[in-house]
Amino acid sequence: MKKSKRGNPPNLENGVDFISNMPDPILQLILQGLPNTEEVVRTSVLSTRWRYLWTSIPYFPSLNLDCDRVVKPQKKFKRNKFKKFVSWALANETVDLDSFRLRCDSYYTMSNVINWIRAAITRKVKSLDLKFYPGPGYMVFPDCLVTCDSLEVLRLSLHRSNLRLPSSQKFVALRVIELNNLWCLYLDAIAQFVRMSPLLEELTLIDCLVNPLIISSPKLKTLIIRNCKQIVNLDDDVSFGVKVSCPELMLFEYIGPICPLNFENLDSLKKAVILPDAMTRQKISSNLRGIRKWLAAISHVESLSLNFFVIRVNT
Amino acid sequence: MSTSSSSSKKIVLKSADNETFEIDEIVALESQAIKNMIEDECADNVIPLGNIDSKTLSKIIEYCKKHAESPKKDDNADIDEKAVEDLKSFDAEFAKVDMPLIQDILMAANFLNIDNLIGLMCRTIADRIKGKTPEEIRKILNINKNDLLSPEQEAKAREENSWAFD
Repeated sequence: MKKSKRGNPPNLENGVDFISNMPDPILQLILQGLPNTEEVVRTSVLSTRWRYLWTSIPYFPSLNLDCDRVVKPQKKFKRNKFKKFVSWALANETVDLDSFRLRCDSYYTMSNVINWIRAAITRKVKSLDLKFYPGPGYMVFPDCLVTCDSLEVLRLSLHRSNLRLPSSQKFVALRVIELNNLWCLYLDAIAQFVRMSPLLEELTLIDCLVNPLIISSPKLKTLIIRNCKQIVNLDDDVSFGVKVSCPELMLFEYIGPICPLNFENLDSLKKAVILPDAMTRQKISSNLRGIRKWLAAISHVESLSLNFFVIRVNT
Repeated sequence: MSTSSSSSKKIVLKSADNETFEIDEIVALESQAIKNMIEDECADNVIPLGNIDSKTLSKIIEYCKKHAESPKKDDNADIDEKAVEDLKSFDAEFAKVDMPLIQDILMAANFLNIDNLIGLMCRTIADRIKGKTPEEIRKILNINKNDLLSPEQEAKAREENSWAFD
């Protein structure tokens, strides 16, 4: 306790820069508390003490980068500088990467994005949150992401593109999947994700174009479906809708076009939110059929939210 | 903790302005530095803290008391969610002080080696500078004008990572 190097007497008058006198690990802790990567980088201009401090955060335990956020209207986005930075920040392989969040829309090519994904995997990334445009059609989902044994959380936002997943493999550690704006034309990527994720606990689908959804997953606890349109095959009316069979499911939320629901095996369900919206699919609004059956299947929940459309269809 | 505190061992801390604080040993043990002293048996009955004033010290004792009373995470048992919430709201209230005091507490916590408190103060500072411009942050942190970058240096720093600046 005797070696207080600075030996600052207490309560110095204002005007003394306490913080800059603190040792590096303390300042690094402060940097770690900033909400995103560009704010961390901006501290480089605060003072000579802070100039290179951020580069010494030995780990970047998480990277949070959003092209939209750093681009101001009427300003040209510095594509190359940003790209260099992302590659540089990912290249530090000495410490594991906690989470990597990158929203880069169509600023970069697929091969760029794949390279970053590979780099993140090398850093044993736990949570990956990517928004990018893979190009028209579908993107071949990289094998390395499936075999990655650190990846627990995957959030993708794909600008109406689709994914082709390697069918024979299973995710090793993946527990949480969120898919935004995935359009499942021809390839049912969602069904494949569910099949390939034996440890899946949380599945969220937002603004997706989906095939009839059949979600059967042994460990799933949370299922959220928001504003997903279904590809309707008029010849096969029977399979249209959402069918859920998940013994561990605790929360089910469906918000979106009215469609038939079918519940089985939902003994653990605690909360259900079912808010269909008839505006988008008037034609098949009668299709919320079997309502008595599905209500009976979830009658044991502690909390149930329904809206007017459910009641109207029933009367 | 609920057992008679009068019988438990006491430690006396003395601040820079010569105020003394008698506290339970278990509270003092929240400080790794004091713990080491006690274990090495180099602590007298009174531990002088010549660089911590009484205002700061009483805040730190308030913090250590609360945290010593709360169940520890590494007990690995099912911790009462209410206790965790309670500690969280205590921390949030505790951090509602002005910047000079936060800095005094941070310096003292660093000196006394109280990890949780260091973390809390750093998060608090990060919260106060987030979303702010460099000029605003300099003011909040009271950064010494003599330490500022020259205009050329600042221009270079901005250029290096121009994507991150407006």
